[in-house]
Amino acid sequence: MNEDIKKSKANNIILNKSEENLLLEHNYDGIEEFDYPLPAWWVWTFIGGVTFGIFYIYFYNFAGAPSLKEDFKIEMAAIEKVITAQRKLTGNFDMADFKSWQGGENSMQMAAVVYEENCLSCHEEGGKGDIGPNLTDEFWLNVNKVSPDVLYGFILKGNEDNGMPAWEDMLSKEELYAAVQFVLSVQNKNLPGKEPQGKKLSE
Amino acid sequence: MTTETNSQDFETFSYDDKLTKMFVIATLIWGAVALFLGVWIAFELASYKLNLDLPWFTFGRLRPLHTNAAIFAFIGNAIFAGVYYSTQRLLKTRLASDLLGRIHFWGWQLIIVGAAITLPLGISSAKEYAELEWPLDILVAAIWVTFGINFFLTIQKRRERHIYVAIWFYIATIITVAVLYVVNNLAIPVSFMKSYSVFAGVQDALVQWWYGHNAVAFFLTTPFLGLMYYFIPKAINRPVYSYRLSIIHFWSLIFVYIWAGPHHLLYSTLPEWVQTLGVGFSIALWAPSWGGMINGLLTLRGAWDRVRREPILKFMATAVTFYGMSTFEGPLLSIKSVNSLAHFTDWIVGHVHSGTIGWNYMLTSGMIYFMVPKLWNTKLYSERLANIQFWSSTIGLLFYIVSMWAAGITQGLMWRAIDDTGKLVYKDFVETVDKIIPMYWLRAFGGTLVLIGFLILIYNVYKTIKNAPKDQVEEKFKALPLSAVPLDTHGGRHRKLEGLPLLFSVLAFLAILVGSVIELVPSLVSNQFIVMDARVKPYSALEVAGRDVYVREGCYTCHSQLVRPLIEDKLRYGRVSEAAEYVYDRPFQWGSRRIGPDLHRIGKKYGNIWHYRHMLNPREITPLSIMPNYPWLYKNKVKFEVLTKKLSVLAALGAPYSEEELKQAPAMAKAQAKLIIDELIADGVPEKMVNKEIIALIAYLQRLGVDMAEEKKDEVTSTK
Repeated sequence: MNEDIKKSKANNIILNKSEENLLLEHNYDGIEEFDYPLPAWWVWTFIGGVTFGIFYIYFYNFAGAPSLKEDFKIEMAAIEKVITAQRKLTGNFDMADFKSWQGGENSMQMAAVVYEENCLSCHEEGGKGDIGPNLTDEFWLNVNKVSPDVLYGFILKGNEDNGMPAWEDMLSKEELYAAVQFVLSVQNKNLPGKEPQGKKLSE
Repeated sequence: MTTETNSQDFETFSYDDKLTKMFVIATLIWGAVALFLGVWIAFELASYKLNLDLPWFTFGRLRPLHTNAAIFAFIGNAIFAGVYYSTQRLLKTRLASDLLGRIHFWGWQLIIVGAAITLPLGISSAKEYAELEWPLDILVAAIWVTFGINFFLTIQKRRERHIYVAIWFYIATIITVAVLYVVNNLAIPVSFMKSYSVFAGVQDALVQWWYGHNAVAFFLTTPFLGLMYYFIPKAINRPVYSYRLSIIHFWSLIFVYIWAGPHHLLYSTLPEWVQTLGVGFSIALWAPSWGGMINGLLTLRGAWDRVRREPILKFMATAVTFYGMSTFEGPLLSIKSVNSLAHFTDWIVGHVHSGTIGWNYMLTSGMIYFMVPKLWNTKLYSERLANIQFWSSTIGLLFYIVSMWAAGITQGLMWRAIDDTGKLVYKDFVETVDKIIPMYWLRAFGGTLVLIGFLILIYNVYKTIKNAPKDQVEEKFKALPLSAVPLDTHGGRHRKLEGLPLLFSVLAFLAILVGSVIELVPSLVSNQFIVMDARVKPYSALEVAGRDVYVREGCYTCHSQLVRPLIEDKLRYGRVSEAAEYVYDRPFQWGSRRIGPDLHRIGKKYGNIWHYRHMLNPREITPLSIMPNYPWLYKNKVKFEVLTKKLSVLAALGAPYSEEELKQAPAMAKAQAKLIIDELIADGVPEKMVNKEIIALIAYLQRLGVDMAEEKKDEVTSTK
């Protein structure tokens, strides 16, 4: 047997010279323990973690770092500027612009897609109504005239009490046009569906 | 163990291994159940049809059963098996009481059966990993204390002067779990199977996540570190790497861990100083956690060739590796910027499972392969099957983790995507769900591999036991009595402390108490952390009934009720949530995962008929929805007569109901239901639905988050 190696008492395992000095006199059900020094990288991780933690808590509670709410306010102010500017754009309905969009070759196709993605779940296939009113009859709850500008204005702001959302921050101007276009396209189809609601409007 | 020459002083004793065997069998049975439930609900998310339109099979009811079964039934029984096996050997004594051991075993199994019956029935207190109702809570506490008494009495009659590091971890576990469980489950009963939490809103959230986080710490981590310290050196037959490391990481781990709970509540309405404490301590927790990993892995050092060959060591080395991975991921996820992306996503689900499957399942498997041949005095039936289990589980777990990373990060990024006109790119929540469905299939596949691995383990153990000799006799051991074992006086102060288990236990208790008291007490005893708002009123009787339906169905497993101060939350859901809005929420229902959208601003967003149709078949309104149908809400009647009792309990807890409101609760609830049905009749709903649960649920949903709505007028999203 090599002189440099020796067996541990309990387990008959082979230890080298350096380990032998690190073996403690502990023995639990045959389990022995070395007493290796703490790995330096671990010690530094420990110190680093604790230091970071203390610094972090100090920074946010005592050093005047912005709170979550303050951070949020700043970020929200920036996005609100964008949203406000966007609302100015979508908020004005210009009949000429609408007509020119309407004349484009894809307008009917886009109307169908926008309707399906956003309106269908409440107003049902072809606008016959279900959760939302029937769009194909002559009875109307929220508008007093079925014209592009009035429909546009209503879709823009919605009516929370009736469960109609405001779409101004969700749809682009073209998508709003498309929604208006769809409603116009189903006028007077009088599909059997939801029974009439609201006032009768005659064109 | 009796290498010295025989002397008159030696005492003869045996170990109560029968009890260990019972816990091993229970671990295998409940492990299969827990994993099967996990796989089932994973498939439910991939295909909603598996909810089967039956109340007992919906995700909302089975998910709590899965988590409770996995943590308390599977991992719990594994802990007890390993603790009883190792403690007796480490202390050179038989358990103090065989009888207490049996009471512990059968009591625990009774609790599990109770959970398996009550949770699918919707009997739930809706606090995550603490869903059991009060009678079972009391039983859990009683059985846990039985376990503790038997454990400490066993320490008392030990023949080993000093207690080994495994025992330190067991002590910390037993003390802390008792404290956590009792405090978090404090509630006032309404009936035999219904209670309301004594904490409300923000305070309930704080207590719940102090509990929830430390259930991970002191049920899934500390006992397993103890088991690791016993089974790894035993299995590899090498000394533990570093005694001094074990001292430092033990004390730092239990002291630091208890503070980190609030990282589950970042960007919530919890006072910000508590949130920052939670984050600071989470970062500081990284090294103490890794101390355990290093001691485990470096104990295996020098014998890597055996780790490659022997399944037991493979399981153990893998377990420690995943422990290291998930305890690095944890602090990472607690950093605010990472948290704002990952919170409420599947990343968290993946993180949890890299701990529970990677660490607990793997170590349990290794431990069972180690113990079973010894307990039954035979050899393992098949190493090959053990290897197959190892690879099946490891590959399954990798599928699980990677798919959840992908799903979580994808969904988190989609939620926050905003285009340059200030609009959400994916304004329909369901788009972000639909996108990750392929990941749900992959996850379910990975989970199935883990389950198959476990079934192989069961078969292997079954065959092993079957081949074992029939006449099992208890082996006799000899050791000197404690009085003949001197205190080690050369080992320093900690060495001395290891000879004084009672003092050791008191110090461990103090270590976990400091963080608990500093974080919890100021927020609990004083309401100054919550700015009260006079506009916020308690729920009406019908809304209370509806809220209890929400709780029963486990809606919180998929829906949050917390709009965070983040742009993406504000744009998608509306006004940021405030602490004052939750003061009557018992329990709080903030949730931890958005499989569906947040609901805190759902009130008045849609008409009643929308909810009526939606709960019956969500796909009629949202074609891609994966939410279950809830047809039974249209058949079950509201129990109006219990509302007086319910409101009285809430009043006793501080809700300002008038005498009239309490006495007339059933009549007032019926009147409110009448108002709702009158509106629905216009949409074709039959009048007889007036007394059904759906009406109560609609009343509750329409009330959510509307009390402080006036402020909304000042904000940009609705400027005129």
